[in-house]
Amino acid sequence: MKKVYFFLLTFLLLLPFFALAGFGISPPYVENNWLVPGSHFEQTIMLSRSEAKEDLKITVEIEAPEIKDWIKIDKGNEFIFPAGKNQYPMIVIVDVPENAGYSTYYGKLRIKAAPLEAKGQVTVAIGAVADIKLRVSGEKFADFKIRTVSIPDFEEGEPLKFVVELENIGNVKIRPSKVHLEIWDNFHQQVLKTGDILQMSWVDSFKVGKSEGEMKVDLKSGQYWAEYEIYKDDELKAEDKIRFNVHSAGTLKPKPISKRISEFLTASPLRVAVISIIGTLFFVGIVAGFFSLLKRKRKSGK
Amino acid sequence: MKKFFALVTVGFLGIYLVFQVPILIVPRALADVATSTVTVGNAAPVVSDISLNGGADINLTENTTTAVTATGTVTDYNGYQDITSVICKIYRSGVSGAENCTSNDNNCYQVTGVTSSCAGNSCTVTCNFNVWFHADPTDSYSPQPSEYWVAWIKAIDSQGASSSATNTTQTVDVKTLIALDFTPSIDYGTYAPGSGDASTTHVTTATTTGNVAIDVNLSGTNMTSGSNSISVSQQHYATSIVAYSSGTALSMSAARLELDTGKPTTHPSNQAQNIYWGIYIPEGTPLGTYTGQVTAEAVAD
Repeated sequence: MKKVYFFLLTFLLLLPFFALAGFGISPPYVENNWLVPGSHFEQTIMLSRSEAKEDLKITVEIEAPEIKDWIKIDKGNEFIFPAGKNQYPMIVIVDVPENAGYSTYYGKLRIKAAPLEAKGQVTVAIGAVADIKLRVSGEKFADFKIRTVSIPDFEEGEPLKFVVELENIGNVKIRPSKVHLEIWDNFHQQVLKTGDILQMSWVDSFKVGKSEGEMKVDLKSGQYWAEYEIYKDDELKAEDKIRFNVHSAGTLKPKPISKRISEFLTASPLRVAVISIIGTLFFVGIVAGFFSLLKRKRKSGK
Repeated sequence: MKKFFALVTVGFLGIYLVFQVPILIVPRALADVATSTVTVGNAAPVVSDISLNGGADINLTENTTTAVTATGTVTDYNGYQDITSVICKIYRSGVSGAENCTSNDNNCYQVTGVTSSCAGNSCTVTCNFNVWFHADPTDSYSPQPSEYWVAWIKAIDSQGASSSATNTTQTVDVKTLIALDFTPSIDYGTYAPGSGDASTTHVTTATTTGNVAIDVNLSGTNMTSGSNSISVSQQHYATSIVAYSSGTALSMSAARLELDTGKPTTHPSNQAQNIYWGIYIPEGTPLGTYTGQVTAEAVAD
């Protein structure tokens, strides 16, 4: 029996691995080929997992000796991927120093996910590696990707607003150089107006933003079509057609009361005529009443 | 005075009658005079303003589906009530057949669209797709960098007339997703100092749960029990069962293990590879329960 106890005591206990189910990142890279000294650039890496039962501790290691100081993670290098979420965004922020040399810089982001507690076992952490490639040069690059195009509803008498949500993928601020518009009737049978918008608003480098411009139109309430062409310099970037709505004045925004009264009184020639006649009769009545009172006073005075 | 008020009242009545009588009588009189017949023809619905995922690139979720939405506007000049059904597809631009592609969770999805916010002759259409983790990527890291994903919406009316359109102004990519599932747990069991596995017999499976082929970087920490430790290099691994001494020693720095697997094409993933482990406990290792960490990193193949 003593032999058995001795045998057991000399054993070494190794508990099983505690395995995390799965983990992934998308995209597995941080890349920009158009940085210039002083550029600010942000890229989202989406962390994901199919099982979201527990919090995960995320640890990010930046392996990029030359450019480590340029790179920051919005949530810090250690943060929690909260339970209940299958996707969790991590923003990689790159600030290129003003004195950065022209070169292409490489590195890696090691993103590791592990349970919060080791639970007394051999823990398996799952991770993923994102490649870093940042090219710094003095070249200007201007281009954009269109995300959405819209014409928000507006009221009669207001200008048409044309909105392009775009992703500026260049290193200078950008806007469509021209938007050509053809406004068609509800049935897309007749062109009502054509024109160009040349003064769209700007979107900063490496940002997603809205570039907006206006065109004067004189459209009654109803539904219309707009055929559009969006240009970058002389290049036609996109063309399509879009449906939009014009509403009666005052239906989207409340009007001042004075304007509402004035519009009510002058809504139709018939109403103007009736109001004029009533007004005249009212005036005549007052004058007649005044003279009648005057007459009575004179009589009583006598 | 009485005469004056009577005059004013009669005046008002007269004016009312002068203006109101024609309004009441004239349309009825006209309706009696003429009967017109108009045949309203059928107009096919028009689809416009299609957007996929708001124009943003799509990030998938490891080993499961991700909700992706396509929207559009459907107009029918016979009234929006005439729109009877809407079919929506999203597909990789290079897929065979384009909008006629056969449903395939790698490159072609089809759902029925739902109309809402109907006004005038138009409705908004929303199409909700659940896109699997293995859907083909089209970004610059993918095998199809010049391709993108297209949203296509077709509206059909009560007479069977239809039309369709795509999101021509957008180029939406499905981003590369590298992902790994590393299970099940390994149970080394209980060993006496100076003993261990003769071969790498403890198996775990590395399953690719993204949309590209991956390799795995393996690293670890020393296993510790209080102030005592077992070197990380005592754990060996291989892609098959080999003698313990022939396995690769685990290291604190990541070492790449080439997997023979490719891109998953089905769910559950059909790309998995076993990794075999063994351990040897050196002589003189003090008794205890040792803990440590092994890290398995997915890297693009």
